Amino acid sequence: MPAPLSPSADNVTQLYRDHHGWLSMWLRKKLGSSFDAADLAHDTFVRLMAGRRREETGAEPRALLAHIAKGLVADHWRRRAVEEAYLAAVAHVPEAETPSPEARALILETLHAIDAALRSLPARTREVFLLSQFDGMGYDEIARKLRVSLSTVKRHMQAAFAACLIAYQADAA
Amino acid sequence: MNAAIDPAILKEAAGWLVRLQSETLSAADRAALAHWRARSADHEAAWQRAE
Repeated sequence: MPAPLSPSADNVTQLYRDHHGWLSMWLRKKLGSSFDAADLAHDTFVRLMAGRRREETGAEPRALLAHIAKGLVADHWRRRAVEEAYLAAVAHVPEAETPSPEARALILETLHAIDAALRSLPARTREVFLLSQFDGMGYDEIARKLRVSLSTVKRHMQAAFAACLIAYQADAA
Repeated sequence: MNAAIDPAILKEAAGWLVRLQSETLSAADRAALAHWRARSADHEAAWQRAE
């Protein structure tokens, strides 16, 4: 095991040399793809360099690398799930009307931004929004189901719509 | 893409959207919404996006 490191740019080089192979293997087991594993191993080191965590790698650099990589793996599966949902949704669209690859990439980026915005909402707000927009329930129905007032439902809905509009804008900017 | 719209305007647009979804707007409400949209190009753009 290498000695604990003090902060310096050389550390990342040293960390890379010592642990990149291990990290790639670890990721390949999680992801089942050496291509995705190589991508995320790269991203993990980029995150490490971008963050100030470098100083905190201490005696357990692999624990820190695994911690960063776990977050990236979770993001990876979320993005994959959003993309699969999108593909399922357009599966019935006639070929002539399917979006171009460029348009598709833009749509997916917007969907990822909205997904992230919804995840950043308080759980109750997200629940109200999903009942309304995906289960098609009316506001009064949601109020009864959750035993809250209609004005509470409206407040949650306004917060969720606003978050989506702001996320959409941030993504398009 | 156009310049960013003030988040405060987007929040107001979200509020109008909620009203539109939850109640039948009276003629006066519709006029108020039209008036709100006419306040600036950003208000109109926010509404287009919200809808």
